[in-house]
Order: sequence, then structure tokens, then C-alpha cells
Amino acid sequence: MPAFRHPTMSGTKLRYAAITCLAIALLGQGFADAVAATVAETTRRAGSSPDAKSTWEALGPLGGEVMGLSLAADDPATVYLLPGNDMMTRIHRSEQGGDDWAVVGVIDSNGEAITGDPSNASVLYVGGGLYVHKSVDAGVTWSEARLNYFRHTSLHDIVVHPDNADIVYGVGSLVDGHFKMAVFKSSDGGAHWSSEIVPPELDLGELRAVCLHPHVPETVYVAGTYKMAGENYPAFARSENGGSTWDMLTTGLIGNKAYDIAIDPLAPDKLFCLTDDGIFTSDDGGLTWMLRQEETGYCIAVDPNDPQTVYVGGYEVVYRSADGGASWIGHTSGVRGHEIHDLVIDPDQPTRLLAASQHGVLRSESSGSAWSPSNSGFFARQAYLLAIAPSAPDTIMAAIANGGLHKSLDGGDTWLTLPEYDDCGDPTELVIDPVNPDLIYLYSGG
Amino acid sequence: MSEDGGAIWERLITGDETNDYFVANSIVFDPGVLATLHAAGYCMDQRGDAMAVATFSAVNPNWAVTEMPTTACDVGRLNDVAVSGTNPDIRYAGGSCEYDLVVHPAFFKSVDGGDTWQDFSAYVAAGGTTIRKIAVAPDNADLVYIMKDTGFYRSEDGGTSWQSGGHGALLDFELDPNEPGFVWVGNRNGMVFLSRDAAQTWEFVGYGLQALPVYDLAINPQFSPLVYAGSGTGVYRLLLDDHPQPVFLASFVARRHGTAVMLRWEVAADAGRATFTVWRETVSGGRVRISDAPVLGNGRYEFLDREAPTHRVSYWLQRTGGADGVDDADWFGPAIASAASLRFALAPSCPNPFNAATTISFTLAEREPVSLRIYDAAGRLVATLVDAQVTAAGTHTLSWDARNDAGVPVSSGAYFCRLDNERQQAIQSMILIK
Repeated sequence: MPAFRHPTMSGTKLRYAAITCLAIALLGQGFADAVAATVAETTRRAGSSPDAKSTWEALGPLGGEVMGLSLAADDPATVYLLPGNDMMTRIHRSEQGGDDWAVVGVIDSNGEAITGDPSNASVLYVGGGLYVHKSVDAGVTWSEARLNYFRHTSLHDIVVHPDNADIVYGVGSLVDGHFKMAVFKSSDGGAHWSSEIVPPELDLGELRAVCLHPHVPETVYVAGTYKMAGENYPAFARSENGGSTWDMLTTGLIGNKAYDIAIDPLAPDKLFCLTDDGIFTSDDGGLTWMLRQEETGYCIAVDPNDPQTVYVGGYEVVYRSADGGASWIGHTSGVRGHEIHDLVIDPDQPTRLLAASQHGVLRSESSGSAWSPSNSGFFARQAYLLAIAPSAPDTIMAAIANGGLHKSLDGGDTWLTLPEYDDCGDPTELVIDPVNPDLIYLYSGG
Repeated sequence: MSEDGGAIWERLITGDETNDYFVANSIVFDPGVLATLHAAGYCMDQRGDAMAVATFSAVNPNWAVTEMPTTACDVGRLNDVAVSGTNPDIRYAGGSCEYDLVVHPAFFKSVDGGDTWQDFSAYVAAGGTTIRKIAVAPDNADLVYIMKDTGFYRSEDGGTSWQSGGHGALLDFELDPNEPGFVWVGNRNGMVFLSRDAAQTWEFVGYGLQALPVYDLAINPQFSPLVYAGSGTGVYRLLLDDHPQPVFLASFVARRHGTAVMLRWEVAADAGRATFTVWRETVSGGRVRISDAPVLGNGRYEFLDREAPTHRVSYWLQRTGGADGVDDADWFGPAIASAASLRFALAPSCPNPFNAATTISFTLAEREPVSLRIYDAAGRLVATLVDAQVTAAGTHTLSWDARNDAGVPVSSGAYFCRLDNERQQAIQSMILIK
């Protein structure tokens, strides 16, 4: 038999309390009684060692979709991870620069963007569809505020004013009959939000990214996509009055959509914009744009210590520029199959980067030239089918939603990803022959 | 199908062959026939979906489809089929059926290996819209479990009557192949429950499953209880440690009843299902187990030591049930019974008056030869029950069946029972009424 580990259970009492509430709300007779009895038992023995009898051990597979990463303002080794594709968003934290992730708090809706308050490392914001969630205790507990009580909204990026922590900007869309490019602003630390439609107001659109001028934070830049006369265009807009009025600045931008923007912290007129047609730079605060490379990506990060060093994460590639975006080199080592959603740079060790992809966290110690998974403790892959080989019970197979088939030969201690078997989508049934553990049947499609 | 553990896959049934109208929702291996699988699902035709089961052989990779015989169903789909391991002719299938725009659970049974099916839907307890999963007890073809969208049910008679096994939105259940009567269920909220009594009572097992749905459970078929759960955050493993949880005794008392000693003890009310063995301390200080089987109780326990020594004696309890054995922490005691305060005595017989037989009890303060005889009203000896036999100290009980030493029934009337030792005697009267 494999050796079994019994992880310690920090936060045990909190978890028990949550279980009690669930029991009352969701369980029927019989099962609710069982939970109540267990909670009573646990309460009686509170303070003693955890109940090893009843602890499930997470086996993996490790990883899962990551929507965003955020470094703590006071300690870049502390990283927050926003997982994707969950009804319950479990915010993870690593205190070792991307190793040993652990759930720190839970939000009961999905999130698309995470950011920290640059002036207070305990304050975090997570935005998603209708709500922005805020934590003032480093991600443990969260409060929520609705972006707009009358309209459906979506939110894709969020940023906190560097000098006035009460001011927070989010960007996304507001549904006012049509999707409109929207900037959401809070002037009271996320408790209340106002919505501004970014012109052209009559056209459809959606914003994806926001950044602030580092020295004049009332200057706000946003980017996204808008639709005019049936065609999609990349949008880039600037406000010099904290979001009250906006100017569309797209001269030189080409493509159908803008994914991300960034600003040079030392030379703030220097801006970067990613569209689906390439990597663009502007040297005049966005008034004009220049295409630098047609190969593009979804997210961009500027080294805060050396803004000539810029990274762009894309599909199965991370580009690096050492000359402020004039030229780029693509790196593919370790990112095969990954679509990079977010990049963060360790300001203390700028050769260290973390990337968020649909399969988990990647880490580079070599300025982006090579990447490796960094998912220990991060479990966010939905295992919806299991099969044990009856004749060899250490052989276990698991079907992972959008993640293929995984197999363990040692009772779950380690897992292999099996080759793709077909193009029929996720299997709906998986059985292993009672006699021959290598004979596997799966059923998919219909 | 993969024959090499999953490296290379071969498509057995493609969507453009003639058998593509059957869609499987679940697949199980036949318990008796190698490389044969059974599937539950539905047939797509012009009338809509029709509930069906299908058999599939690796030798002949086509579905052999059997539609369910029902008229009260406009559209239906089966979700699961289960084949009895003890009698493969008995099979069950379940799903949902829409009739007159009302959706209800559908349940079918075959007793001829799937050749014909009977509609048992009317027997299934009301409520819910579908049966998601079925299982048959490995050792009993009539003990069937179903998981509906609203709860868990079991039938002990092959599907004609059902008892609720708990309500709730369950996603999967498994019968433990190693432990008869053990049932595991997982629900939508990251909880797993275990029943050790065939789904009558449940205990919660499973801290650590992060409140996300438990989609699938799998049990190691050779080592129990080692359970896997497929959840919203991956695969989890639980080695259920059945070593007993700490028990605190609220009381443990030994009390003399004649020469016997009644032991009573009580554990903290929430200590769970503790079981104990009872041990008596010997004169030399060792311990002798005196309970054959573990003593069961629900918080309160008692055990009568009928063969207690008459001297002062100490008792100990040992908590039982740990797979890894027990340790010192599982001993409780001692409870001390005082020495029996015994004196030579003959108790009144019971019943008295009596008809067929009466019970006579006597107590000896020490081990000695005694006699117990019956005399009639005229003082004639009628029967000798004990004849100068050396008898242990303590209380002894005999029965007299109203016959003399020749085995002849005696007549009605007054009789006397006399107990003698070498120094004293005791007499009790009794009346025989015919």
C-alpha cells in the first residue's frame, strides 16, 4: 500500500461551522443528522488534535484554471491566486513565491480579476460579473458590492489608485440593451460603485484592461473592443479626470480587439497595447501607436525596475523584449498547451516570473526563457469520473473536465496525463475490465 | 477501448453506423460474462427518446438494444442498469419518463437476464423526477438501492416496496465491496456519508473536500475502507481510520446481586458507537476476559457476571474495534465489587403454590457438602435433589418437577424442602396444586 499522509487541518473550526450551515440549508433528514452529530463531536473535542479519521487527502491532479495572480505589496513572496470556472471561488495564497498554495478564503461567485491595494497589503479586490469583492484581512473574509443595481455587468480588470486607496477602477461591460464599454469607479474603497459608459456610446463594446498613470493617477487608460457598423475594432481610451470624460485614442492600432495594456512606470508616456493583430507601443501617451510585432499575446507585464524589459504571455509562448518593446524574442519552453492569462514579475528578483494559464501556475526563474508548473497545493481540476481497476486497485483513472484522462498506478500518489484519445469531448463513462487492468472502455458523445 | 492502459484508443462504435441511435448514460460490466458490458440509456427515434438498455460485447461491438415496455411514457431516458452478482438473471434499470408533460422516476426489473422487463415504476416511492443510479447488494439480489434526484431509497424485496434512506441532492453512491451493508454517498456540497447498516443510519466522513460537488466515488475492492472521491477540485483519498475515537466514561459501577455482579457503565453521550469487552482481575493481578462478544450499547452498557467470585473483585473494560489493535488508553477501570455477603440460606421456592414445577434457590457461605431434599406433609422423604454433594459457595438454583425419586408424579398437597449441611438446616414449605 502507498504511504498515507494526513495533512494538518488549519482553520478546522471555521470549516466545521460552514458544514453546519450547509447541513441546515441543504441536507435532508438522515444526512443532516449525521452532520449534526459530527459537529457535536467535533465541538466537544475542540482544542484537541484534529480527527484524522475523517480527513480526505487531496491527490490531484494539481492545477486548474487560473484567472489572475496578485503579489502582496509588502512582500512579493506572498502571492494570491484567483482560480477560474468555479461557482465558489477559492482564493489561494502562497507565501513562498508560488509554492505551497493553500485556500485562504472563499467567494461565492466567479471572479475574473484580482488586484491588491498598493498601499495596504491586507486589502484585496476580486471582480467578476455583477460584483466586486473586497477583503481587508489578506483574503480570509470578503465583502461584496454590486457594480450596478439596474444593469447586468461584467468586469474583467480592476486597479486601485496608488495614492488614494478609496479610489478603485474596474472595467468591463454594462448591458444597456447592448453591451457597452464601461468603467466602474468607487470612491469609498469599493463599498459603492458608479458606472460610466465609454464612448462611442452608441456602439457595442467591452473593456478588458485598465491602468493608471503612475504619477498622475487621475489619468486612466482603458482598452478593449468595440463594434461599429458590424466590424470589431480595438479600443483604447484615456481619461485625464478620473474617468469623467474619455477620449478614444486608436491611431495606429489595428486588429479586432485589445487584450491588455501596460505603462512604463519610469517614462509614463510610454504605453503598451496588445491586440489580436500584434504588440503595439506608444511614446506619446496613446495618441499614436506603432506595431512592433505581429505575434501577439493576451497579457503584458513591465519590469518595474527595468522598464526596458517587457513580457507578453500568449498561447504556448512568452515573448520578452529587452529594448522597451522594439524587438521581441519568443520562449516556448515549458508553456506547451498553456494559454497565458496573466503575468507577474517579482520586483525583488526580476528574473522570477509567475504566469497564470488555463491549466495552472507556471514559474520562470530565467526571465521567462523556461517555465515549469508551480501548482503544489493548488487543486482546481474537476474530477467527474473515477474508475478503479478491480484486479489492480492501485490503478485508478480519472476523467478531468476539459483536462482529459489521468491515470495513477500507485493508488493516487502520482498521476500521468494520458494522450488524447479522440475528439468527441469529455467521456461520460469510464470502466476498467474486471480482469485486465489495461483494458479500458470509455464512452463519450452520444 | 484501450487495451494498453490508455495509451492507444480504438473507437468501437462510431456515430455513423446503424446502431448509433442508442445513447448510453452508464455502462457496467456483466458480473458473469467476460468482456460483456451493459448500458442504460435511450434510443433516439422519430417519436422521441425511448428508454432502453443495451448489451455490448467486445467480440461483437454493437449495441444489442432492448427498449423498456411502457405505455405511460412519452419520452424517457434510462440512467443506470444494475445486474445482480448472485443471480445475473435479475437486473434493474432506472431513469426518468415524461408522460403528459409530467416527469417522474422510471424503474424496471428483469428476472430473465434482460430478455423481458417489467415496469416497476409504480412501486417506487413518490417524489423526484429521475433515478440516477442503481446498485444491487453483492450478496442479495433482492436488496436494491436507488438514488433519485431527491434522495436515497432501498428495497429489500426486489423493488416492490421502498424505504427512504435519507433525503438530499446526492451525486453518487457506492456499495462497499468489502463490507456488506456499507454504503457510501457523496453529495453536491462536498460531503461524503457512510452507512454501516444498509442505508438506515449515516455518519459524516470527509473533512477536507472543500464544499464542492462529489461527482464520483470509487472504493478499493481489495482493501477497505480506502475510498476515492472525484470532486470539483480533483481526486481525493480517504483511508477511513476505524480505530476508535477517544471515549470518556461518565461512570463505571460494579454491584453485587447475590453472588453475581452487575456491571453498568456510561460513556459521554456523543462518543459514538463504542463497544467493550469486560475483564475480571485475577488474584494474581492479571486480567481474564469474561465477555464472549463485545458489549454493545448506545451510551449505556451493562454486563452481568454470573460467575463472579465471592471475594472482593475488580473489573476492567477494554474498548474494542480498532483494526490496529488496542493500547493502554483503551482500558477503563477498575470498578470494584465488594465481597459477597453470603450466609447459609434456603430461599422460598417460586412459584408457590406451583403446578408443574418450582424453582428452589439456596446460598452457601462456603464450599461444603450439602443435601437438598423434599418431604411430604407427613415427613416422608419424597425426592432427593442434592445428596451430600460438595457445592461451591454462592447461590445455586434447581428445579423440582413434582416427581418423586422414582419419577412418579406426586399428588397435590403441602411439601417441605430442606437444605442440610453438616451444621445447620433450613426449611421452606411449598404447595403443589394439580
